[in-house]
Amino acid sequence: MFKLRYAQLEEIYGWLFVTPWLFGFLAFIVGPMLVSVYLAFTNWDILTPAQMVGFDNFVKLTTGDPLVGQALKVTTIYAGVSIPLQVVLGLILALLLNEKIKAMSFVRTVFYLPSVVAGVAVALLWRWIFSPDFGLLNAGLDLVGIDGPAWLADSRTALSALILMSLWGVGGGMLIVLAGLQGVPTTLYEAAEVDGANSWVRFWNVTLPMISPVILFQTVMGIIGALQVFTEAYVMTEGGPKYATLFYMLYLYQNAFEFLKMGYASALAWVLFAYILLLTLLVLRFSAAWVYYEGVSTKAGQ
Amino acid sequence: MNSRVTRRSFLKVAGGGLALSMLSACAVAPPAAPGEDGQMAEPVTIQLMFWPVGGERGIASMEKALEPFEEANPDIVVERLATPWGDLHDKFLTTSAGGVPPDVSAVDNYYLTQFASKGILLALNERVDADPGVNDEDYFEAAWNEGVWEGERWSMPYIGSTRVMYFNLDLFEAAGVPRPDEQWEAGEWTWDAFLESAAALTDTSGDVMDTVYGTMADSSMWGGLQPWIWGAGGDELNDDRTQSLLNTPEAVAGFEFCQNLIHDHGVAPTRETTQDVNLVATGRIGIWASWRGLVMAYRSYDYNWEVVPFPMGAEGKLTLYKGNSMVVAKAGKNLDQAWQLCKYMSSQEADAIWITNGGATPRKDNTDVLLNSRPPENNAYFYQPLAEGWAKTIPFTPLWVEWTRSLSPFLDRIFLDNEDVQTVMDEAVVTIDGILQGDS
Repeated sequence: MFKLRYAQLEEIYGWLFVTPWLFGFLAFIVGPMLVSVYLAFTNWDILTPAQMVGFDNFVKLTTGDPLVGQALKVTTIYAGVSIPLQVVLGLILALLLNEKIKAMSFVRTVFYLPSVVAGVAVALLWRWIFSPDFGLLNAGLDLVGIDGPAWLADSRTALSALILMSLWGVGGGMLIVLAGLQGVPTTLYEAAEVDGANSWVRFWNVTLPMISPVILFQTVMGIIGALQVFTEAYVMTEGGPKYATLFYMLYLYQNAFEFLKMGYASALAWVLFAYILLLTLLVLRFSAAWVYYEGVSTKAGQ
Repeated sequence: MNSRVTRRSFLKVAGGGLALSMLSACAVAPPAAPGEDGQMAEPVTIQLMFWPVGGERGIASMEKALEPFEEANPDIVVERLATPWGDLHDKFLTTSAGGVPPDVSAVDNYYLTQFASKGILLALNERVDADPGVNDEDYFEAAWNEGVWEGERWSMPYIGSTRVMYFNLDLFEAAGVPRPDEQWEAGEWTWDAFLESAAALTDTSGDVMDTVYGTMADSSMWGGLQPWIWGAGGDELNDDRTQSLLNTPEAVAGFEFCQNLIHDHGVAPTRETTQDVNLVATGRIGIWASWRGLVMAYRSYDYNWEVVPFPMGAEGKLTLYKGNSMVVAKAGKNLDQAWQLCKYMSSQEADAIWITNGGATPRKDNTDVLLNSRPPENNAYFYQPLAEGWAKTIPFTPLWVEWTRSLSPFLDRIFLDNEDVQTVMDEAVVTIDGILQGDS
């Protein structure tokens, strides 16, 4: 009979506790990913055996399918506009809600609440808001003398409408920034005040650098999320009008489950994976110039 | 012989025994055979997937229909899988791919040929021929033939409807416009008469909340545009369904008629206006096309309404019939019992229940039930096109979903941007032919 040391016992418990997740991760994430690598090189309709087609799917999506370019364009514009908007708006809201006033917990809850309600319900709600003749948005614009556009029914405004709608979930980002703000040591503000810094200088030179890791996190997660947008387009526009909201994930879904081109859809998925990876690495690479950890920039230990 | 059991060998045997007992617990017990004492075999469970038409109402209808079936077939237990229409077809596909499809399923005919072409449905020819309980003479020909693709029967007709025109009787009376059904009976219900009526009803002079449109323009290939295209003498595809004919002068005329309702005549709202707003429910539309399934909703409206066939175009009397299907999954374990259920779902008894929940019968022997399911009073218009042979069906192909999806942006150009139909359709046909001929 041998006795386990406490550390060994703890390690065994650790593995035991993590095993269900590990099993799920391997079976439902890694496994399908590996299978989809194989499928990307096949012609597979889900129901009959896959046929190897070499690089045909990748050749087609890069040279023979204009909708891939359209889907990438739509998705990139959406991400490029909605992520900065969400980060900046989240930061502004967090700054406002970081003040010590009465009933602040209630106010914070009110701002956070919309981000809890997500998915199809929100998409349907926003369809009503964007309704050209009877919607809340155009009714509001009408009050100030503006003849509102057709929003989702007009190819020129449909994507803008979905970007506007993405701000619905800004409360989630606000909460993270708020947590970051409350982690900034007050001694730094006191020292800045002693040095004669006004509120803008304190924000620019103390607050922003101190919460820059949080902003980086928001940006990276935002990129990953925005490039995988699906529900809004699926429920609200089906990619129209005139492909103006053909998001990449929607096009992937259509190929996989409507046209039964699972091999081609797998190839599309891996291209998206590479695109997200590339953008994430670029952001991380350039983050060295503006992200500070413990008050020190990762760039040359500034 | 050394019979000593070591700890290692004991653990091996114990572990093996445990694994075997676990495996045997997972195994499905075979159905018991009838005993010598004549006792019934263990009931077989058959999964039935369907979309509940009208939500809770549809589930209640299904329960009502299954009750006599289960009483008459004590050896079959039906496991109900109520699934929203939007999810059902994906679910049928994925469960089929996984080898565990529901034994019997409702399938919208938009998807039937796609599923049949993938080999996941049981061909029913032999069973239909051998079963004295099934007689093709009981069904209207168009409805019966919708379940056939490439010479094989893949389904039994289930629910379905002809496309008719509904009209707001109160608006017609208020405007002093002759009732469309009276115009039809007089043989005067033509495209021109339809347009005249719509124009007489339209009033867009006041506030948007008081606006009334004579009609709504169809702008979808999911049953909406076909009656106009066919009515003008056009067609979607050639006979072998490998080429699109949507840019022929006849088809273009059909598109143009619908386009002009919005952009030239101003008797139909734009898609912007109708988006998410039920103008029919609020009594703002004079006459509009739809299926019989809508009668259940319309019965709760606070105005009087009736139905009339599609107006006569260049081709005379013509409309569309589109049904749905009950299919048997080829991978099912109990095909005989599944066939019994599939057949029953299309029977006169079950069909009578579907009619009371908004269905329009594919069966000749249920027209009385349909006539008595009022309102509307003019229920005969739902089956007359089938009985008299002027109801056409959509030429479905396994690529139907894909080619109609590819048409959407072109239809946007016609109905949203008011572009020249011929120019747009010349471009659309290139895209559609690419899909139909496997180039995409």
